[in-house]
This record gives sequence, C-alpha cells and structure tokens, in this order.
Amino acid sequence: MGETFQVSFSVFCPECRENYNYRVFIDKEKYELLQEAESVTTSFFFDHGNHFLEVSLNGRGEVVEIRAVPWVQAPEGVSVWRPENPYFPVPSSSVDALFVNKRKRVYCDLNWRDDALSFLPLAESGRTAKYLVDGKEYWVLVNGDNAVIIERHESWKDDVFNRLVALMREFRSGDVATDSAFQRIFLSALEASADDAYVALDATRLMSDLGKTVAINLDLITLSPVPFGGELIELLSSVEYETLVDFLVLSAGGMRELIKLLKSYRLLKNLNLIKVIE
Amino acid sequence: MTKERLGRLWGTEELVNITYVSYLFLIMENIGLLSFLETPKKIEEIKEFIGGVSREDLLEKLLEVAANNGVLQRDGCGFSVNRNGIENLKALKSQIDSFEDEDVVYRAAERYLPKTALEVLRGVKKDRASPEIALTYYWHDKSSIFQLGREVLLMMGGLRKLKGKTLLDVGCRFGAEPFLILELLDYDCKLIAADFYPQVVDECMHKEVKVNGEVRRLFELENVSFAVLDPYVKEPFPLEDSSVDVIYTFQILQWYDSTQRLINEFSRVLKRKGILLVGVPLKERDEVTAQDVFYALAGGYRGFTFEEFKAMLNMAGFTRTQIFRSSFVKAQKR
Repeated sequence: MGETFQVSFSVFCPECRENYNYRVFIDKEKYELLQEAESVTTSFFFDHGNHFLEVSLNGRGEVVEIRAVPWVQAPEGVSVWRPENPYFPVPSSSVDALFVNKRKRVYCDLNWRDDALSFLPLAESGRTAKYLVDGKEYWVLVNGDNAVIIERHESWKDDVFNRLVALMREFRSGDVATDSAFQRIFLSALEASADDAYVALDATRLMSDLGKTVAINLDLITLSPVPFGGELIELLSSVEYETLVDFLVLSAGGMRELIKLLKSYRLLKNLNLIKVIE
Repeated sequence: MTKERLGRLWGTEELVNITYVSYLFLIMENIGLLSFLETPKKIEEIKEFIGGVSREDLLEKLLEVAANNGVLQRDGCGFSVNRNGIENLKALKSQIDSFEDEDVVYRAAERYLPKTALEVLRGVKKDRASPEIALTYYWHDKSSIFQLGREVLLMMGGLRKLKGKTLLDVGCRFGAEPFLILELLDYDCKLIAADFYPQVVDECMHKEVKVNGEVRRLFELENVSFAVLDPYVKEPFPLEDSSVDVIYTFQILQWYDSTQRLINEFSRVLKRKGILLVGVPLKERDEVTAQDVFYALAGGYRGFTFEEFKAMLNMAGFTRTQIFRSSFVKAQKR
C-alpha cells in the first residue's frame, strides 16, 4: 500500500536568514530505502521567491543538507544531441515538456516547441532545479540519466513541483525520451495539474507499477452502481484480464482516458479491483 | 441534522428488519434460489442446488429467517417461496420514507452480494476488504443514512464538547467518516483515523477536504494521523495506554468475532473517564435476525443483544453505559 510517513522539520534559510517549519511526506517504499543506508538522502524543494531552498533528509528524518539555490539564467551550451520518438504514440499536451536522456544524448520534443536544443543544457547539471529563462519559469526534474524539462504553467500551484519530483523518482529504469508509458503518464499528469494539484501525486501509483502485471476484476468494475466512467471501463475492457500496467497505459486512447486512469488507479487498487500479481 | 428523519428511520427494529430482509430477498432471488423453491424443497435439495455448501449452519439460518419474515414458507419438512409474503415485503419497503441514496446501496447489494453470499456459503472467507464488500461499502460510506448515523453517535458524545480532544476513529473507511467528524468539530480535535486494512487507510489518507477554502488531502492536515489496527488484536493497537479521550467506532464491531478483545483494547488506550461511542446493531432477544444473517453472508459476524454488549463493556472496565435506539452506545471508562 502507499503508506506515507510524515516528517516535520525546521530549517534556517541562509538566503532569507529566516527559520521555516515544513512538513513533508515520504512514501513507505522510499522511507524503507532511506532506512537501509546512512548515505541515502532525499531532497525537497521549497520556493522562496527569488531562490529556492533545497533540503536533504536522511532516514531518521534529520536535515543533512540545506542549500539556497538562486534561480539562474540558463547556461549557454551546445552539445551533440539526437532527437528520438517514443516507440508508441503519445497524445499531444498543452504543456511544453521535453524528455531527455543524458547518457544516450537523446531527447524527445514532440510536446515541445522548435527550440529544444537551447534548453537541453538545463539537463546537463544532473540536478532537479527551477530555472528562469527569458523571464519564464522552467522546472528540470532529474532521475539518474533521465530528465524532464517543463515550462511551468501559470495555474500550477507550488506544491505541484514536489509532486512532479516524486513522480519522476518513481521511474525505475529506461529512457524517458523513448518510453511511451512514462511520457503518457507524465504528460497526462501535467495536463491535469492545472485543475487538480494532486494528480501528479496520484500518478506516482501508476508510475511505480510500470513493469508489473495486474489482474483486473472487470466484472465488479462494470457492475459498479456509480460507474468509474464509460471511458475507463472501455479502456480496462480493451486489455487482457491479466496485463502489464504498461499495456494499460498504452491502450488509453487519449488524454481524457489517461487522466481518468491516473485519478482512478489508486482507488481501483485499494478496492482490490486491480491487483498486482507479479 | 434532521431529527425527524432519524426518528422515522432508526426508530424501530422493524424498519431495520425490513431493510435486511429485503437484502436477503435480493440475495436469494439473484442466486436463483427463489425460482428453485417454487415447489417445496428439503434442505438437502437446497444444498445440492447451491452446490458445495460447507456452511450448512448459515444456510439453515438464512432459510429460517426468510421463513420467519414471510419470504419463504415452511412446507412439511422443507421450504417454498412465499410470493404473497414477498409482495408484502415489497409493499412495506416502498412505504419506508427512506433516503434516496439508499437506492444506490440497495443496487450495490443486488449486484455484488449474491456472489459473495454464495462463496461464503461454500466456505470462502470474506471480509470488509474483499472487493465486493469494499465496493459496496465504498458507496454506502457516502450515503446520507450512514452520515446521519455518524452524526447521531457524535451527538451522543456531546458533539461540541469533543472539541480539542484526541479522538480515535476505529473503522475510518475511505475517509467520509473522518471528514464528517472534522467538519462537525470545526477541525478542532486531534483525530487518529484507523482501520484494519492498509489499503482502506491509504484511501482515507487521500480523501480531499476543503480547509479555509483550499482543497487539502487528509494526510496533509496537522491534526490528523493514521493507524492500521489488527482486528483480532493479536498485536496491540499502535497507541500508548491512556492516550486518547474518545473512541468512535461506527458499524464496525459486527464484522468481527473478536469484539471483546477489541473492547478491551479500546479500554487500554482510553484515558480514565474517556468516552467510547459505538454504532452497532443491537437486539432485545437472543435470536438470529435478518441483520445477523446478512452480515454473516457478507463475511462478517453478527449483531449483539443489549445484555451481551453491556456485559462486554462491563468486563472491559466501562461504566455509565447508555443505549439509544438499537444502534448507538455511549460508555465511559472507569
């Protein structure tokens, strides 16, 4: 289950020269991972206006590092990058998102403008961060060799950043520039975040199950007196009774279906209507 | 709160009985048992018709209760369907000025419970987290009849007097209950939302509430924490002795045969003079009711007699027990 641990802490921001109290949430899996090794930490980011505060916590919930990081102008830089397309189609999004794999030097700009090369250097630092480029705010979310660069939508609340960081961390392995299931989940979470600040949080459940096989109790889902929705039932009917979560994500016809899946997946699992079997 | 509705709906055991006999009728109708009983059949034939029955005791109780309530009739040494009795039942049910959204629950029961009942009769273990039951109660949780019952139970606890207290909600389900408690207490309490299944607690944690005009999820609220409890109390609740002021548990205890152990554990974690608020089906006489059979067929346990329940409370160190209607209990720890 997605048990969540709360951690509260006070930190002094060296830039603002003020104390702040924060409370953050760490899911069980990450919490256990943190417990395993002293050296493992997890970072949270807090918007402080003209800079952001990066706070790293260890497995005991202690603050081990604090950094006030100014929002910077994008570094100049040109490198040999190669455009790639995902193996299966991804729907168009109204949000600009650039999917990058630094090690392979590949990127996917199907949902970006025609200036991808100018933004790729943002992924070079290998750090999750916020940047200001020509007065616009960009979020760079990094997990290992993978990064997603997003232009912040004006209606997104600040909380969305940390939830997208968490969503990015759930991607286990692979290359986000070509991984259609990852892109579909990520893009639909971005698309819906304007209306629902929690969608990215809900999406972590689906992301963490990529690569797993689930059994779907379609009979019960179909019988529901208040249906989960025709589109969702159509989607669940289109896959085998036992299916890879990736196939479920790839079978969604469009953004609406994907968003419905993101929002319903936790409940479907918690009601045991979808069960991970391997 | 609409007290008039309360009087009509919870006022008599008869209304509760009609509701649960209706559920049993639905189950029997949907598994084809009533059609099979157009001509009288002995219990062995009924067993054979259902196939694989290992809970003969429960089947007998079902048939007896159905016969006592006019859905079936005894015919020699067997049972047959009582069409007149069923028409009467339908007429009675239609007269109940019930809540509109009860129909949703009724439809949920019609759709999900027959298969569950068959499985339980065949010896399959079910509980509140089984998909059919969880799904039924997911919708039931939102019904106004449940919400009304919860309000009544809080009223018994003094409602506003509970402000500022530490409350343990045992059986928080999918979040509607903690939400109601928080709303009615103006978010002025320390609430521990607990249930027996991690996935239920997980769903509860993600329940969205509006605080000061802003949508938040329960897990983000400073005054709300969560716990997964062992319903059989093989492990004690993860709470200190004498650490909570109020324990609130609504329509949960009838699901488990570990009631005494649960009540003992409630006593351990309650502070001295702490309040226990329980919503549970109670009955005057020690006889099997439609409600008992319904819960057993859904994988649960049964209701309790007034005396039996009071005795359990007494044994666990509770006093000043008050019982309202046949569903609401308030007791104080000595």
